[in-house]
Amino acid sequence: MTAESNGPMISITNVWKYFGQFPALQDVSLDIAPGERVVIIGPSGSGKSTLLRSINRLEEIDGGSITVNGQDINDKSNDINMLRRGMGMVFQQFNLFPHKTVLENLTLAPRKLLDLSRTDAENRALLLLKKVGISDKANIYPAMLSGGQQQRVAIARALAMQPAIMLFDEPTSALDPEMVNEVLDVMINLAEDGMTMVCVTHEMGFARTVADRVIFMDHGQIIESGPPDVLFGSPRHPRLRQFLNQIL
Amino acid sequence: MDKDEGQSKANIIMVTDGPAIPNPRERRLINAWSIALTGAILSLLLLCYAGPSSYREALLFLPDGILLTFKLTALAICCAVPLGLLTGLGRISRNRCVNLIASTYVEVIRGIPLLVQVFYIYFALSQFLRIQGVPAAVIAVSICYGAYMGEVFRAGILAIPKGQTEAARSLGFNRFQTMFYVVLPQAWRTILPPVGNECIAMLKDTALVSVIGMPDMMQRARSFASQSYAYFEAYTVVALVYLIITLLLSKIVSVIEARLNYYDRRK
Amino acid sequence: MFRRLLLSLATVMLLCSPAAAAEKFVVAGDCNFPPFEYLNDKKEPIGYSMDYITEVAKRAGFEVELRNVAWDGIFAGLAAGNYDILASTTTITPERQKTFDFSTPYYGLTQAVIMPKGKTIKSLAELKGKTVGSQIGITGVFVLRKANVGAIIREYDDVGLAIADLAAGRIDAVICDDPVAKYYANKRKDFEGKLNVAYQTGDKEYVGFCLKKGRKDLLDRINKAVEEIKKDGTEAKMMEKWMGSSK
Repeated sequence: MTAESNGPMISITNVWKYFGQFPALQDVSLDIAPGERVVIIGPSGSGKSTLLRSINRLEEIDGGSITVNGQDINDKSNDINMLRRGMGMVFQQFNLFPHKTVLENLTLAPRKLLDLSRTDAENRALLLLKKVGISDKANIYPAMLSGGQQQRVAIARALAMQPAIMLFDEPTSALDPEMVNEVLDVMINLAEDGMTMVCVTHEMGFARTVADRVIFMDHGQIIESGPPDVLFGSPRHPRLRQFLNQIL
Repeated sequence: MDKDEGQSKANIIMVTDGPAIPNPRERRLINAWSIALTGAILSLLLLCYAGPSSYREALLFLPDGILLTFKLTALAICCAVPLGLLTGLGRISRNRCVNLIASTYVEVIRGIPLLVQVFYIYFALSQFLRIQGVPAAVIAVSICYGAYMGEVFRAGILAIPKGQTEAARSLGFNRFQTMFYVVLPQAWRTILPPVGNECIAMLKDTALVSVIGMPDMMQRARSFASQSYAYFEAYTVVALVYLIITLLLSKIVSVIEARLNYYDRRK
Repeated sequence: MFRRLLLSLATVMLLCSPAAAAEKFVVAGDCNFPPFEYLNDKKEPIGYSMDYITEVAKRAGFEVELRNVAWDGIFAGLAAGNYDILASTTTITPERQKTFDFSTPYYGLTQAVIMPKGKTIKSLAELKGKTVGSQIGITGVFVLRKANVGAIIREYDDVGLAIADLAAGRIDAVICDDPVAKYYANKRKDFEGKLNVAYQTGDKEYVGFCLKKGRKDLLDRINKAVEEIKKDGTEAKMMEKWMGSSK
């Protein structure tokens, strides 16, 4: 998936999502440009993860539309599996495949989906493992890794499909505090390479350093958005101010 | 709904009528399994070599029956396991039609005793369809156990955390690929012990096919008893032989189970 | 409480006491064996053996309770004392006589081979390589096994199932007592025109009522009655009644 000239890379328009009677997303609209790094913050239950998961259709939306590179991801005539290859996703719980070694976690999708030869896939995987700093663990099983190491492998696994977009769903929330930074460092490196990133996180420091734009969500709505220094420096909305007071 | 459900689902699968699979981590020499096995083997040897001659005669009457029992069981496993897998997949399918077919099959078959199914396929259907003894026995047992195993597969698949499916789907795998590359290889671990149990129960249940004249182990024993009037001897011997076979098979299942646990070992 | 316990104990003892009003014996038969013993529409055991033992009981002065029992294990049940007398077309064989006592024979029969209509054989040897069905533990199986002609023997729970399989074309022949064979081949509407008796062995077998060893006086009373029944022509009447039309 290559970025098209001028239009937004991800375009979210008037999206609604219900869990039963509960409106998780209420008329949310958001455009993300190629190469842009967007961080979504907000209290739990604010709909930020739901919004992120709607982008690669892990959640099906009930109204509005989401297009990625101009392709409507909810249009049944578009192959969602093809579209997903272009969007890497990193989960809070890592979700590594426990029955596969670290290397196999990275090579499974490229080999089966991109028809890469074993050698090509492994070379690509080893390069990525080096990038996330755990090349020495290639042949062991995920259960033997620390949480931080597992999450770095999970990032490398997503990158192995060479996506144009990376989606992060609270990637450091399940980690012990001393492991948070090793994961954030990998993400910062990735941002410096110019990857389009959408990241749901509680790490405000990360948001400050990396984000082009910070989105604050509450009750399924985008309350406020802007560059980090503006949003953190002079928050306008009282709910954002309250939220920042609580976590800072 | 905001967070991943994680690994909270317990890997509990229904209890079946098969024998208890020995715990692969059991290292002590004296345990229920070893006591039962040595006891059974010793009793059989003792009875056949030191006991009245009818024990030995009963044992010598069995071998071709044992072979047929194994043959029926092996064939039935080959049919029932794929059938169970298909049924399990059908039961969790989002396709309403497929789901309904699989669920109805399970409901119907679970409500009919295997003995009735055997009679039905062999004698009732013979009006329209002449199925020979071995295929009829295999079909009846497979159809019956396919339904039981379907439930085992379903439970095993559902026990795999949702995050695994989501991770695979997010990489671009479709439902089918996700199932076969990611979910099933992991589900095998939880599925194997109960499936092994079902297979062993199946071996025991093949004894029912003696009613359609199949000379399996059970029928050989009945035949022997009916001509020698040595009922006690014949059925003691056949019980011991069944016991030894099922104990050995449950050991094999437990060894395989231990192997499937390879990726869980920590540092 | 204590009194109630005593009372129930007394009842149990009363029920178990052998000196109950009339002398009564339980007679077992595998009622899948027409015309000797089978069930009528009301699920009551009927047939030649059943009539015979009822007549014997009448003359010997005891009552009988007729009970339908599966053939497989019928001897074990007798040995265990679940019933007193077998009236189940049990052929008197030396092997059986080692373990059980038999009455004076009440019928003589031969073994018959049933095959699809039109097929006949001249000896058991012609069954070589053929699949022959029968019932577990009846003399037909023993005769065929002893003849050692290389037939494949398939044993069923009752001879009716073997006949059904023969009619379905999955086996080549069935071997059983000749009155039974004739009943199925000639008397049953569902097999009409499909089966015939293809061969009958020459060796006569005799069937008797079977008792556990050590019941000499009961056996004597039965034998005395059987002799009477033979002498006064009642036996011939019963034969005519049950086997006559299928001969």
